[in-house]
Amino acid sequence: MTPTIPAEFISLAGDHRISELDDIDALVRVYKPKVFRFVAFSISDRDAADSITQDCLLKAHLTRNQFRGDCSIATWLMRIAFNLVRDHTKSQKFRFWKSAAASAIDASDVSQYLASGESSAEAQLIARERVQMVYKTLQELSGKQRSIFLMRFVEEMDLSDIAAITGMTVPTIKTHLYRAVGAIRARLGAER
Amino acid sequence: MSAHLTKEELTDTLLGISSLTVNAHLLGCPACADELESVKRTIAGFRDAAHGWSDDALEAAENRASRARSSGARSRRTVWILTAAAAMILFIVGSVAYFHQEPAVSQAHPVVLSTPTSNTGLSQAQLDQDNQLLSQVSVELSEAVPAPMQPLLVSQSSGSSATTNK
Repeated sequence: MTPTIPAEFISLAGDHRISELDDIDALVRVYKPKVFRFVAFSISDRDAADSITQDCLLKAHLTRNQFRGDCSIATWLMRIAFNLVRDHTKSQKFRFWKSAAASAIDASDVSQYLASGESSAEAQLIARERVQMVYKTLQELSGKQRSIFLMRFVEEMDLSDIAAITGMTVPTIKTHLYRAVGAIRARLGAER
Repeated sequence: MSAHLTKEELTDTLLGISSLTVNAHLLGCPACADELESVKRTIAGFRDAAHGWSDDALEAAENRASRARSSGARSRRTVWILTAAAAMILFIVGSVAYFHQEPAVSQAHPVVLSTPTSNTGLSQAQLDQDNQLLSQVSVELSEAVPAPMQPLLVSQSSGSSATTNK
């Protein structure tokens, strides 16, 4: 499961960011939340996400000599995480245990973390139901659509970075986003 | 633009790449503006909840890991203490057993000088002869005057007796 480093990330130019990869403690402290969040909502399994996140950060640290600073460390890490998630979801083990995982992420649990900025209890309840609805819609999307949606709308990454991570073109990325947003709109429309 | 926004136009607006035409439509179409706002708020709510959940999940995982580390250190310390105690008990028990066993060893292998045994293969007559010889040796060794001196003593005693006889 060795992640392949895209050729465009490798150049002869040095960069001060490479030194950031030498300190694995700093790497974990700064980037673990982002990687963990992306992996967790991609595979919907808390424990597996924790394991994959550690694997991702360790691989990044061990292969840091291959990072030439052509992109941000976050983008490079997300590329490794994206590959690890893809490998994980392809495995038979994942398919078998997906429905029965004890550490599966619960939609209602996630919705409890919504900030209570709504004016009334009813509005807050509706907002939480919508969080659950988005989560459930994500689970029905394809792996690529889900990952792209998470990178764009949860991690707020640029389309060009997502294209570099996934190896797709920007128009293809946009097509996946149209479908993902369309599915959410359809659910919202059905609720009304 | 008379029709409502397509899903592509609405998504492009969410991505921040909407055209001037779309922006103009949104200003004049409350339905599309409401829908855009609804989708935007829904996705933003999910993003906030996802951030909150993952921060909490990571903190919980870190707490579990630190508890496991401290528990592991306690377990290792307990194992060391138990091992040391077991070694000490074994040493004490071994020492006691050794000192209790020493006299038993000497009793188990007594030095038999002249006791006849059934498995020596010697006849009773030979044993009696040996015992007699050993007794004789013992008597000779226990005599106050060494053997080389005895003929002199014998002659002296015979001389005195001769004098007496005179």
